[in-house]
Amino acid sequence: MEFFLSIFVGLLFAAGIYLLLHRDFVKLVIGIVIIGNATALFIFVAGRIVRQAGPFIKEDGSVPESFADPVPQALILTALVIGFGIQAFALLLFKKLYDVPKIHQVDDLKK
Amino acid sequence: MIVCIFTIVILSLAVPLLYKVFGSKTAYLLAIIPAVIFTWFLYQYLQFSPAFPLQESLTWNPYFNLNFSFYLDGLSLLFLLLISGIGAMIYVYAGYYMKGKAYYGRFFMILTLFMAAMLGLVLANNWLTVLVFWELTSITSFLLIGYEHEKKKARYAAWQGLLVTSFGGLALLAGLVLITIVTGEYTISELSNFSDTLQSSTLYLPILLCVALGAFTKSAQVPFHFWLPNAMAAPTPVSAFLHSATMVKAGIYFLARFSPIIGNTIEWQILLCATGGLTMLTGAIMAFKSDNLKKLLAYSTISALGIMVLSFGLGTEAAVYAGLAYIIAHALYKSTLFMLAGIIDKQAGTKKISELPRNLYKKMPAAFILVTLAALSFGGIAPFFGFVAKEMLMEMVLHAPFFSSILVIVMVLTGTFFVTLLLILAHSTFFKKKGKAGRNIIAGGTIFYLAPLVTALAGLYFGLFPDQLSELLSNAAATFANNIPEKHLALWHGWNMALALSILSIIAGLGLYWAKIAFNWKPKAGFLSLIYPSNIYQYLFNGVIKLGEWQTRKIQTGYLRYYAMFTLFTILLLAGFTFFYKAGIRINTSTIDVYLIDLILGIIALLALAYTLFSPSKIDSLLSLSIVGIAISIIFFTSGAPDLAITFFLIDTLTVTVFVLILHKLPKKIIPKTTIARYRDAFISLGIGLLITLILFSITYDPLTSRLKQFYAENSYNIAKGKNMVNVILVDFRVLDTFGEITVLAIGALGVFALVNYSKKNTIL
Amino acid sequence: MKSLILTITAKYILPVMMLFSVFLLMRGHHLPGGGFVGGLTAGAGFVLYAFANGVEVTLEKMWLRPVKIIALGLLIAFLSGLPGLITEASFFKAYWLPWEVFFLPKLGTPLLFDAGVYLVVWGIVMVIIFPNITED
Repeated sequence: MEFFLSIFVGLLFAAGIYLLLHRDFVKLVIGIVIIGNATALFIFVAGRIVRQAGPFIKEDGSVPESFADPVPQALILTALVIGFGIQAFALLLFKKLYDVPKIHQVDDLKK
Repeated sequence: MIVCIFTIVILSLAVPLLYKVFGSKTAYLLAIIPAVIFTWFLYQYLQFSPAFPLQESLTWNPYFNLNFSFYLDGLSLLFLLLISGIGAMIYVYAGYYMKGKAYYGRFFMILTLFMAAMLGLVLANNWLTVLVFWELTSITSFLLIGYEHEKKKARYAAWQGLLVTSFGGLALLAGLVLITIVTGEYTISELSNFSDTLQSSTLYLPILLCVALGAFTKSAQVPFHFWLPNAMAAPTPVSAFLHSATMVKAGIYFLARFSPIIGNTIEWQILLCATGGLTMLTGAIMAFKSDNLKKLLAYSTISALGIMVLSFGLGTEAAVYAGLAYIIAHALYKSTLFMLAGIIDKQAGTKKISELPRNLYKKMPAAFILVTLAALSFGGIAPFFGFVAKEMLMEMVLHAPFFSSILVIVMVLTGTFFVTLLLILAHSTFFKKKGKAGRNIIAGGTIFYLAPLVTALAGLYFGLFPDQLSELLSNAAATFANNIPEKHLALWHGWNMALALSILSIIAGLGLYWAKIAFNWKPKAGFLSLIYPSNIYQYLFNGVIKLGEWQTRKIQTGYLRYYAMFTLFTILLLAGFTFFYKAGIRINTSTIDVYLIDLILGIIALLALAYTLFSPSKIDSLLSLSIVGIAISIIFFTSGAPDLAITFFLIDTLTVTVFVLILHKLPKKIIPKTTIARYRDAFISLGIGLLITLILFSITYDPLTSRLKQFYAENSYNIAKGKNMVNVILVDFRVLDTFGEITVLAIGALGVFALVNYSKKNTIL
Repeated sequence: MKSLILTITAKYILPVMMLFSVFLLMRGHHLPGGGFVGGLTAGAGFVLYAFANGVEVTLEKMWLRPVKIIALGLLIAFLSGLPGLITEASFFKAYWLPWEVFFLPKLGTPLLFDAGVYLVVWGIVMVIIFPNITED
């Protein structure tokens, strides 16, 4: 599974960066979103995949034999919410910019 | 000692508040601090002088061997008394000088902080702490020099001082790191046990050069002397303090402190003597050529610092005593002279000798008397303490172990210039025959003269009774070597060679002054300015700025995409190089396992991704984005991360919601990429994607042995009473991190809030 | 874009979602859930309600403005660190109440902290999305 997921993460990054270099604001923000997702998945894969077994202690309090690593999950969980904040902020910023005359695409920022 | 330093630091922060309460009397109140320190340490010393060295220690960060360990021996005590004693006088003087000036509270806050840093510097024993205080003096003096920040000159001088001294600070850091590499010791007082190891080490020369560089920049030795005269832009009390007892003396203190550790080798002697000798002469000549009173004094300080470096470079018994005595003598006369230069400047309105009104002595008799008192000490005339110190210096060069004759000539020449300077200060300034009448000049308040009076009289007192200082100096000298004999200072040494040289220099000085008057030598920049190091500094300074501008123009085109592209391309190159060079491609074939459902999911996700990329419609690419998101959240779900799956799903939904809400206010059409941009961007993005995939292959190649995973598994229920390890990490084990994160979130929300509401009067949120 | 179906659905779904979000928060310590997820769910519920009835109406029905909810959440999260500071001289050290309430999870500062996270995230979702919902 790691093998395929690694390729998937690579493709996600490639797509995200391709969009990040776009002149269009919306595509740029989509790029940011994709890169955020890709990073989350990257950390997750780097922590190894354990199928079907979440990081939970058994009902009786004993440690299960196999379970997913909780550390990357904790990292990703907070990162996701912060990522949401950033994406929304970027989008709102661009919307405000659009309200300003003459800034319709990324290159107009130079003016 | 620790208590005392921390008290001052805290007090310094309270200064603006004190100013609110006490107004312009704050300075006199603050003068109590150094006065108390001075008295207390003097009392301690008189009571328990055999108890040296005193030590105190407070752990700061043991992991980095960082602690506030303070150490008081004879040398520290000498400097401590100088700093606090002169400091008290400076406060009294500054209280009058700064009255009614802007930023009064801020000035005294920085001054107090500066003094605390200086005291800390001479007391600290752990070199990391020393370095902290060292840099603190650099920064506070930067603020003090640039105090009149409305003036371009002041800002420039402050920058120059900071750049030069912090450059030296870096060199010093390197030197100290090297010392620790060789010895493994952080405590300076212990380092002298390692002096043999250090001096036979192959790293000795780099260490010596680095430490010397640090000391030389701080103590304004040639060729780093140029920042000091420019530092005159500071208010006069600061100049007086910087020059007499602090800042520039820090370098001298450091050389003295390290002389038993890395000193007294041939390299040390050559380096210090050559630099010191050159500085002595350069400073004296430049002072002679100056018309500006403060500049003249500044250059003479440089010259005096050269003398001190020379004496510590020689390192003989006579030299050590001479150097220490000269430190005291210089501190006393230089602070007096500076304070008086400030008084003249303030009352007569100019610092330039050529612009001063005629017969100034009639207007300011007190100033004249005090200048004469201090200048006599400066010129080394009996019975002032300057004379005692000068005798010892002459003694030192006469018995120098090498190049004695050259050193004698240099010393006599410097002495000659000093005598001339004495005459310029005491005669040219006050007895001008021509010039404006200067009717409205008044002498100034009595309290203005109080501080210089004390320092000037101290110079006279110690000149008459130099034996009072013998014990203090002997204690200080004991730092240099254990077996150094006690020495008794005396005003009168009998008819000897030193006295003869002294008299020679006085006669020559009189001659030189007469010649200057007779031939009416006007101060000119002269040939020295050609190779003047400040020009080199200027070239370097401008060069760096030009380089910065050039590369900014080249890289920062103003197009956001190109910034991103440059960054990404650099990442690709550097990370790619490191990856292939260090790791190489490794693929763990055992992880090529996949279920049919995963495969279908993957294909759907990739199709959606491709559609997101190339769809001409914004809303379509958005919807396909959400499909990608759902696919990812299913991956999380099937891979043992249900928490992530739910969160991701919700986030994905909300993101798309925000997008949709905003989209219909933006133009529908997408501005397409150009064809060249397509290929170029595809190249960069595929390159990075490939690199990431390879890195992940490499990471997952080795089986993971995570101690953290095990730790959380064992402890999350036993200690934290939770069965969901992810949640336990977030709200218990790493709760402070989570707290930080929600704070960031809240700040982000405030940003959005501000962005949305910036033009509205009533906010609804 | 008012739709009767949406309005009525939102009216009944909101309490359910709020209840569910609190349920997620409470079970978070042992099972999937927690403050982040709970807060997002609560936020989503209110966003839905605002879609149906407009932002003004939604805000009128709330006791606190979203920004204040964020502030309250931060405050609660911070306060949850204090018991540990007092009892163990260590900020954020978990402190558990000695008694148990029969249907609730074990009560202690981690749960309180999670409630703070819940409030912050909930408030943020509303702050970000509400300004974009405009009736036009």
